[in-house]
Amino acid sequence: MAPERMWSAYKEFCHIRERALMTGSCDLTGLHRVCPTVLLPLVDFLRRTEVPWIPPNDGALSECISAAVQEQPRIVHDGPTYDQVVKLPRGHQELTGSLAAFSRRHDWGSEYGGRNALMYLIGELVHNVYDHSDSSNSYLMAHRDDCGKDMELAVFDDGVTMAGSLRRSGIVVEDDVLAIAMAMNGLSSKGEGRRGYGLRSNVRMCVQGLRGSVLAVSGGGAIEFRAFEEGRDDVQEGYELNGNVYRLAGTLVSVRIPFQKKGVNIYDFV
Amino acid sequence: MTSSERVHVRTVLFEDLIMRLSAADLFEVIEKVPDDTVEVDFEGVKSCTRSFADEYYMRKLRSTKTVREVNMPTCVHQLLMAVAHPGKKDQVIDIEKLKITVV
Repeated sequence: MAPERMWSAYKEFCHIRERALMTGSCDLTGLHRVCPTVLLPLVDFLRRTEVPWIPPNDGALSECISAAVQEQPRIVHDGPTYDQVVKLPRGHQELTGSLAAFSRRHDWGSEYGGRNALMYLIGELVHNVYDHSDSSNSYLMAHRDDCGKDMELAVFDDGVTMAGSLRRSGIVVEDDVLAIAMAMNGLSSKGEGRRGYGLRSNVRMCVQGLRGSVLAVSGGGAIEFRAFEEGRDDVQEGYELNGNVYRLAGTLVSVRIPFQKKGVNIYDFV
Repeated sequence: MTSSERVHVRTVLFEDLIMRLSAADLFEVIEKVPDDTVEVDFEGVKSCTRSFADEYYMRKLRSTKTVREVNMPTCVHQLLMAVAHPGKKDQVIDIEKLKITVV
């Protein structure tokens, strides 16, 4: 059976948000699983709006959200499924230490491509937030599913979006989907040539190297790129988020990496 | 932090070289070394991003010092090679063929 698509998880967040905006209260009792693609934008939404929320029935999940909303990071689970929303610090030195501690808690990605791949992946994703987003808040989270079949990692920022960042540097893009596609292809608001390899290499490594998937949602656009399912080519799908229901004030990049003992040679993709 | 002309990366930074600004920090230390030649010792470094490698490479080109790397792990060596010889960026997303759904 094909794994649930991350786009579906993102839509789950959108529907929770829509109901909360309509009712004035965010009912999370229907939330049963830890999923960074849902939780990172949800935590940002709860923090920004201060809408009252009804906790999920799952105690650990409830604690995880509560700690993140109150900005009190603490251990919710010990062991390999340890879950914590990490608010990214502003300073780069503090950040590097924080990312190393984060990766250590996730066994340095030993079953999901290895330390070099995990640190590269996280490092470049977070780097984009610092370099391009001009955000006030940004978060990182990873979660290994209970069966150990895959790990999902997400980075969210409430910044200017990919299209916004390109526009600020004088690059006009028609819409958000095109901006995401161009960023994935290596276009950078910092100029052509030497820059623009970070997201591009992450997408290649995740999909072509680790046979996983990548979802990027930014402003009014989204692209999901998944490694092939049996008998099919790799799948690339774009979403134009016309209505307010699915739009995102910021950028979310999620990656899902299937379990693998063998490390990946990242140099084939950088 | 430095012993004569040698700067230990692991002491100045972390085991994992991630941020561009970390490379800038490293070169601040390098530029303060009195000798004209500085050995940068990468012993203990475990991982490296392309962003760090690119900034390191550019700073090294502009440095007033002669910088030599020692104990360079594969992760750093390969990425320095990649940034020194950047290849053509092939398209990852086929924009022409991208199926777009309006929601």
